Amino acid sequence: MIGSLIYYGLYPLTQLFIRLSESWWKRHPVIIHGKAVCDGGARSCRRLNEQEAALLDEWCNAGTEASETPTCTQRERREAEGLVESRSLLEITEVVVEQKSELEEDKEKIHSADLMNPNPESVMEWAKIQTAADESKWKFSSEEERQRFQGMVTEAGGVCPFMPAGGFSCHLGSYKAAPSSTLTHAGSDNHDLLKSLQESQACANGNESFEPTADGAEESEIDGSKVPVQLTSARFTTDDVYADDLFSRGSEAQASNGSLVYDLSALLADNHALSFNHTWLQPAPTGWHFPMGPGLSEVVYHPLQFPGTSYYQGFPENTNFEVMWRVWEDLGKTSSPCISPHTACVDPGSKFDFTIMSYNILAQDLLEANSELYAHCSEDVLAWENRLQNILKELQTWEPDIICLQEVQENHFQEQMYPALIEMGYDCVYKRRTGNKTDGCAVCYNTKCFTQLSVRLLEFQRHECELLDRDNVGIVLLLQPTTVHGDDITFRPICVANTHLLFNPRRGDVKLAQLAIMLAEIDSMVRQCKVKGRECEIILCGDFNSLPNMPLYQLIVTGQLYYHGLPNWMVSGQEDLSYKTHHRRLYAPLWPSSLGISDNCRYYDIFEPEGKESGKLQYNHDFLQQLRYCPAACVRPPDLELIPGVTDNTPTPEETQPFPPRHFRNTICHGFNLSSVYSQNISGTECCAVTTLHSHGAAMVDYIFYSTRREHTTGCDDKEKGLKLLGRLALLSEADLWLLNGLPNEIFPSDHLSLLAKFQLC
Amino acid sequence: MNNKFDALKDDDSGDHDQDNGSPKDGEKERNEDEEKDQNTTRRKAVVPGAGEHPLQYNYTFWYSRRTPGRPASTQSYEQNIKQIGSFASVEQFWRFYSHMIRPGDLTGHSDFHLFKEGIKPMWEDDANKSGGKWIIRLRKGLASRCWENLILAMLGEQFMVGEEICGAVVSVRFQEDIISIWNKTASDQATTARIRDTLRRVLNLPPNTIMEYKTHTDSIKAWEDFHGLVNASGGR
Repeated sequence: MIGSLIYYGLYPLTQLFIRLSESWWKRHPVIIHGKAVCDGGARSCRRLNEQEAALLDEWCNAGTEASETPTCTQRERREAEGLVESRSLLEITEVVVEQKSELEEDKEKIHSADLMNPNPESVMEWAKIQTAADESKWKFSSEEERQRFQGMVTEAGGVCPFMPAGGFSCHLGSYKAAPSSTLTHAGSDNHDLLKSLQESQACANGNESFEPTADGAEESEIDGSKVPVQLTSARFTTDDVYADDLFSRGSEAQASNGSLVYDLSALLADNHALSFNHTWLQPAPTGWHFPMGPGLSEVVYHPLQFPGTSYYQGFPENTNFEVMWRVWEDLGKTSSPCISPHTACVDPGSKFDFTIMSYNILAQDLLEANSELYAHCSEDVLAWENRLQNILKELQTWEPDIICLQEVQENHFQEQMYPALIEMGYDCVYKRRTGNKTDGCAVCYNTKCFTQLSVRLLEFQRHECELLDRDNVGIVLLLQPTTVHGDDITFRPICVANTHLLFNPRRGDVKLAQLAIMLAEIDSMVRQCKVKGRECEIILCGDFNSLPNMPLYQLIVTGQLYYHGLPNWMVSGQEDLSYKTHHRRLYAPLWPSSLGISDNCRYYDIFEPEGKESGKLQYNHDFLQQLRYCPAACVRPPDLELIPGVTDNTPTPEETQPFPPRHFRNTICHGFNLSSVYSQNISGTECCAVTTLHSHGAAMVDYIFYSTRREHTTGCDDKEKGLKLLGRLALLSEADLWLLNGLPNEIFPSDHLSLLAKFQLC
Repeated sequence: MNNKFDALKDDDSGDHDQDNGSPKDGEKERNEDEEKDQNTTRRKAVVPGAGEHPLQYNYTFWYSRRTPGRPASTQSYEQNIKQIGSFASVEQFWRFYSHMIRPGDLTGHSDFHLFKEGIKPMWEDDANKSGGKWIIRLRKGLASRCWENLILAMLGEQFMVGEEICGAVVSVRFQEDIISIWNKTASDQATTARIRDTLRRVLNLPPNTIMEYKTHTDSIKAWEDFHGLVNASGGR
């Protein structure tokens, strides 16, 4: 009875309200609940889930003085359910109606506020409704809030790159994992806590939601989490594609270290997509258009107001935003007492932390010679001066203790980069490619952290060898970590090797030979160290022009490669040339013995002078082999009795395989245990990480390999000395990079991404 | 004889005729005095040719094969061992080596020996009598490469043990191949350790390879014990 009374009494009211609200929408074609946008004509509404509805009930029953009401939500709910019998909901409706006029007043208030918003009216109006629909904690008045938000962003992604986990802008995985649609700005560590806090606060703080702000950190966290929703809405367009893409990643939710890196806008769009999970009616995602170019910074700097106080402090206005596009992944399982990312430091536990970057910076001459690869880029992006500034900015941002650069153009290095790097406290070793090539490799190290013990500049060009006719080079450097405390602790030296192997995807044989030289030089350096009674660690990095898990990569990380009959192109796997009918294949020997390098990628024994017995006629294996088919050696000795099956062999100089392919023959190997800092996929996803991208493709070809113990080391004690990977700067996927208009772009100055890893030396 | 060889030519699995005789495969049996004459008198001193790379020592290749169809104990070592040739330079070495079948392709119960000129591949030789040898047993398929690496290291004086090295042997057997390197003084542990370490390096051996050192005195004793039991007359 009461129900029907209420029904008949309220139904007309509801209808009236619906009409009013519809007309209101028409007058203000803006976003509703952050889900719909009007610029593309699309509109969708979000429905509250049960939990939210309950919260809303509580809020309404408490007689809130909030100035906005969840009009849209309630209306939809009614439409969906037909007859509403819930008493509390009816009460809400009453409140809604009562507050209708207040709504108009509030609108005016907001209109009058100077918000520096490009579209203040629409955004604010949307925001009001959004606020009401959610826990109604927004306030939109002060400029301070905007700054706080920026502070949060920066703290999460940029200024404090060693912050654990993905941080606000990037932790897609953990956000996705959350049952609540609310984002939190903190790392996944805090995530659960925040969720529960949020839920409780949603009830507790409902009433005070529009008071110019409660100051608790917890509330601000919740508030912070709302911010992206606002931004998303403000930027809505009708491009579905990327939103769908992100949405599809939702199932791959992962927490903590596996933080998927996303730029802010991507995350915003994602949050939007996520919110559909909670809708009753599933509106077509209206999608989201990535703002290209300068628009990016507009998003970040969007002068919206943000509610509550931020957990994070403000940050200077001039902070770079570039670094936010990539996020630091903390991989140190045990917490390191040393957190400072910018300088190597020594803690009392005799540990030495340092960072190393590998970066192919794209030589300008090569850029111009291959301009078709960069047709998607604007002239400004490709201009060397702009790129130089961005490169230096990136180096300054991360301040790696060791920088391994590839494609460093000699004149640019000498005239511009070297002076700048010296200024930044580095010392540099440079090696130009041979022939008429103008670029080369450079290794720079922070002189406060390292002293140089030994250096070798390698040329892979061997005139006597047809195979090694390419101009690639490498640098092998032995660096001694210097300790702050003085001489009481001596760390192992680090052998840093940097190279840029041949690009040509069809010449896997050349790549392998070049890599063999590199490995032999490292081995030689390591052995030189051992002669002095010291072990050393190895870091091999650079542009290897080879894909993960392809044979060349396998050789590095597994220590061996069986190559017999392997198609040449497959070594690097850059291109799939399997469609070709004829493949050049690999057969022994991979490189001539004159190279002086054995199958285990070591130089043949060249005895140390002190070990040499005076007057002995010594010949090493390689030398003896060289004479194998010399004319004098091919004549049958006149006194050699012909014994069938024993002395009836005929020497055949052409024979490339003196031994049949079996057992350990046709295998090359090396003696190091090397691991790659980066894995093939972006952490926690099945999305391939790429280190280079241009108009002809994207791939991971750059690596940082480091020496590891055979057994997994969990701690650092005296018995387990070595390198421990503490963290890395996450890579991006191809899709992410194309959203940034490919590479290079205004954020990333090269067609490669920088690789950055932090190690602890015990 | 030729027919027998031809029949076995394609089979590099070693001798499958009979391998029931000797106590230790790959070891030398005693020589007889008359063999010394046969194997030494017809040799002229070899010298490096003009422009060739002289070796520190001259070496001689030997080949031995147990005649199929006869019990091992009835065959004399000297009946089965043959000098192939001597050389004094790197070029001369290759000249011989290139015309010889790889050990892995040998048939039957065969051995190649490479000893310094003047040292016979026999326990009783003056250079060997107080010596011993490192033995490495290889699974089938490895012998050719290991043998080549071994003798190149020996010829190139990579062992760094002065005059200690006497020679090297590769023995092709039924299910395995054996390579060994002989030195003069079995009791010189520093030398034998150094030889072992060099072997590991130059042969590029799998890590689990077992290396065994055996003095020739022990070899002789084992041989005598065995043949004493099998054949009371002590025949060869």
